[in-house]
Amino acid sequence: MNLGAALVDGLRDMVAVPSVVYALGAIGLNIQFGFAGLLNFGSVASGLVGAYGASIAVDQGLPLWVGVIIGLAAAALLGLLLGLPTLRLRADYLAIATISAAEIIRVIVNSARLQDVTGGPIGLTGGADDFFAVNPIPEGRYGWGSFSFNQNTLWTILVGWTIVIVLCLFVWGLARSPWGRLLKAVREDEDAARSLGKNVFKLKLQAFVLGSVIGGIAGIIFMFDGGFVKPDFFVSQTTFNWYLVVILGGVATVLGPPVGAIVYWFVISVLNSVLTQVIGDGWWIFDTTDTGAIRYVLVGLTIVLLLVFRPQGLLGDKDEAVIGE
Amino acid sequence: MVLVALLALVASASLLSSLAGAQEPNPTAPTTTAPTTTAPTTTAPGGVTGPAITTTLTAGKGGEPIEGVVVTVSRDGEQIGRATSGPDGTLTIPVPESGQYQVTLDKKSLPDGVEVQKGAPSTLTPFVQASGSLPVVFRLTEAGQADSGGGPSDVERLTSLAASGIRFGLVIALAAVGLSLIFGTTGLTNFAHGELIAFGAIVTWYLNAPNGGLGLPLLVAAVGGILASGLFGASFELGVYRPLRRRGMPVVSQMVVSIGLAFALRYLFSIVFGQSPQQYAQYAAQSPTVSLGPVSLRPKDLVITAVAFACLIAIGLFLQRARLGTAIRAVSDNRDLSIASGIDDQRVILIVWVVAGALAGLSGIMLASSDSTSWNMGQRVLLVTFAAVVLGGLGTTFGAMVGGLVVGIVSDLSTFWLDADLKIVVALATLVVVLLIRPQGIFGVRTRTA
Amino acid sequence: MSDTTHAPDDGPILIADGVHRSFGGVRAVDVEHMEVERGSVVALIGPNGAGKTTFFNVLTGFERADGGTWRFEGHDVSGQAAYAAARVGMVRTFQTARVFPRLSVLDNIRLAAKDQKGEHLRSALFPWVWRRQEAALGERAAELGRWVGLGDKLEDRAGTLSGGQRKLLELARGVMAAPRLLMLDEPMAGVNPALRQLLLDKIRELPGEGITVLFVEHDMDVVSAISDVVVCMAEGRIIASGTAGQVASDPRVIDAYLGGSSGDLRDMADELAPVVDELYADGRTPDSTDSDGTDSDGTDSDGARP
Repeated sequence: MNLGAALVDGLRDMVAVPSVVYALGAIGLNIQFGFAGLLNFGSVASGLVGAYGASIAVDQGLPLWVGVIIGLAAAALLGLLLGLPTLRLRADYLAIATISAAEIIRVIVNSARLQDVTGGPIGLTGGADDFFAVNPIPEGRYGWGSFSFNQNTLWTILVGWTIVIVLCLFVWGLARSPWGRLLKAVREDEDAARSLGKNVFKLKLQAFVLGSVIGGIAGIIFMFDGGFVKPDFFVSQTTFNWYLVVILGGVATVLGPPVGAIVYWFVISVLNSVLTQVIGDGWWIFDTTDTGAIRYVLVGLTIVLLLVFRPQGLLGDKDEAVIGE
Repeated sequence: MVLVALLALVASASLLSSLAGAQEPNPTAPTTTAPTTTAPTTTAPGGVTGPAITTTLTAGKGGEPIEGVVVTVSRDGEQIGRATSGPDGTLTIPVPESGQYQVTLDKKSLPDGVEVQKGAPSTLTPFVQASGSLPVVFRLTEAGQADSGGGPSDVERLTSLAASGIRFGLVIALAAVGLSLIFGTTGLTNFAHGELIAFGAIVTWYLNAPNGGLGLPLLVAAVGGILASGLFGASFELGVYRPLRRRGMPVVSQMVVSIGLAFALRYLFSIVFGQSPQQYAQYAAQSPTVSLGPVSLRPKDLVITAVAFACLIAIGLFLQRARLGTAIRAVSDNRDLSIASGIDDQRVILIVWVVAGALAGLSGIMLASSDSTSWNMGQRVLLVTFAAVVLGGLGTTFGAMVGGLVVGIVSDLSTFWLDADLKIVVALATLVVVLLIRPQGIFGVRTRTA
Repeated sequence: MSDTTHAPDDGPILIADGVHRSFGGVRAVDVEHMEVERGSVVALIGPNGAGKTTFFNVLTGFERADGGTWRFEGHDVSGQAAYAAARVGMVRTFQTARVFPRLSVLDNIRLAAKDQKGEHLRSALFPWVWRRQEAALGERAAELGRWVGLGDKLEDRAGTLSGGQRKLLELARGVMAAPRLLMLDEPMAGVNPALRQLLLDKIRELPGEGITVLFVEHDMDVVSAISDVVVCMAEGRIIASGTAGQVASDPRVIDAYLGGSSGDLRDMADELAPVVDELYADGRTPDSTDSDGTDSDGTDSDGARP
């Protein structure tokens, strides 16, 4: 077995664009689920709306920067439309309503009827052309061996991680403000906060929309990776991967989402390489197509085990663990 | 502790598959049929296959594969590849590298009576990634399908859609009742309920299939499947949720646990059972339809409808009349009071899980009989089941039945006007609308909050 | 909302008319008329299930009313959202103290302050906008914390406090919210005798700070010690009001407590009978079950006669 190659794969994927997308998606989700305690099981929908908003705008001939604004506005609008009626619901109803809404949006975008607008199952390409056009990095491959990226991927990675850093600072600033304190209080006891004259609903809506916009950014960065959007990235599995990333890093921590994303992709990628080598053309009950499935089995088990044995994740404080006992 | 259930499952599943002997190695599943099935591979970096374009050509209501259709791939006007669809309607054309290609379907090669759907393109321009095959979809239709002259009349179509909606609704209601009972007694919304559904169907397949299974008659296999899923339900409670409740884990976290559990189980099924859908042995062949007035039904659908209906009546009577049923309702209504009056709530909850597991298994077996067994069949109906439960009011059993019927009929009837792939949208939209207008459901009652 | 009153400084601070609320056909609250005098300490008493807490919930917007109006400081506030009721100056506490366990005691109190600039999302990221106010509120919060005797616990997490200390924290937090009317739901429930006197003294001080007090209480000792006016509810209605002595000797009140007309306790006894029988059958003594049932009327007859 070639462990070295597997490690290099892991190192590459831990900084590559999917990791950026997961970090961003998890930052958004962490604001909703972590800080505000809102069980959004459809958070991938904001990514979809952001990515498609931008792509459709570009497809219709608008410049990319306008597209990005449209995409983020669409994500904000989604947060508002979904949040206004659902945030008064109980946690389980909120979860069901959001996962359903996300599924509705994905199926509609996927529908062949809308092929002219959304590209149907095939999706849209060319959305990122303007972004690559302003790439200051000269053409070529950068890195060593399989740890290397072409100029466009490198450009997306650099911009992506910069956004992650900026957003972490943003979340840090919010978390230490009285607004963040109030959010924490609301998560602990809504009624007590109401009894003190706090507009709990408005606060939740703000957190929900904020998370949705950041999810939209995740979607747009996803589009920059390869320059196309397809509906099948935005399935509910992605939402739950983001949940794992949030829980792994540490719920309601500032650096939890990027740390969770990096660890997630490193482990997943090393595992993928090792499994591919071990299983090869088939071993015991496994065959070559099963490596992806094994990875998801582990994702699911890790969610369960983390919640049971380490609800504070990697970075959280045991006493602060908001999802544990 | 949590692992127990999973390990038991792996063990029993691998035992079953070794009993099955030399099971055919799974061919790479054609991934064009349902976008959700592509999930395990889409985001995996560094796949091993080279870039390719693949498509599956089908037409008609049953999605019969079309053989012998010619598709060409070109780039900048230069032809790169060409293939003819096989007996399963699929074809794959490798391409040299990532980029944009034109994929053209040769209309002249289509068999008589099949044409490209009106308004749909016969040339697609997908963007292929550096690795993996990219599925593309051509929308074909059987000629004359649109004319009302040759086909069934609107009334006939509507009544047969209503009939299939009733069947689907009743089958969903079976699973929904269990979901609702679990919620009522424990407060948990079990997102792993879909896996209980799939488990019943899959176990039954292993017991029933002549190749790769034990070859038992379907009825016997179904009884086995129901028993197994009842036990599986019990293992959820004993292995996962009861210990979590004892630890005082909040319900919201338990829901996230159920998601993780669903994830792990679903992909475990895909490893053990494989990714291609399978049909039960005795029902694989098409049988002549039975006519009931304007409705014509396949006999198996008639049986399914009748059995589902009978089971729902039975469970309703059980909850109303039987001692145990009364205890279940008491725990749902007021756990503290029922404990005070001497009911062993933990035992009641365990029984609820067994009943819910068995009902979900039965529902899965019925879904698999009228269609096919697949590893992710539970996930596909989970949200519809939620819709049924929420529509009727979370925690009310009668509501779950009515909710199932409403969702089934509304979504099936919607295909009269809308594309079939929007069926799920209609079901879920019904759910969302109900949540917004009447969150307690049609039959739920607002409760005192103090 | 500023602290200046927009209403005349005399007259009742709260007037409720025709407020009612039913659950499944049972009238939990059915109050024809009730007033709370400005600057007074008013006790709301009544047997279990009389509708006191539901009445509190309705007035403070935590529960919807089926009908009726209530005016606070001369403004119609009927049916307002809970946070809006608190903002106009009706601040309530809960039967079991509800603190924010993962916030410090100081932050629990500070959070209650109104009009915090840093609580707006638009200024949250700009500390220079809110830093000065934050510091001032911190001082005020620390002062209130010391006022209720939690001075050495200010930095501790509220989750580490005992039940009685939580009640004290809730009181400090309620005062921090600058109420005109502070509504305390069983402020003495679960408070140990050592802290009781402290809590009583603090509540007695409130009218001097311009805060009117309306509180729900079972313990007649407490009621007669600190209240100016006692209002008694039974089966959702107000059946008597006056001084502690007047109310306690009112035959309707005695009736209500002893179950003469209400049947409330008798119903409860009927309900409990099979349970008690079963416990007997198990060979256990029933003395653990009777404390709840007899507590209220026992203390009632003791403390009611001055």
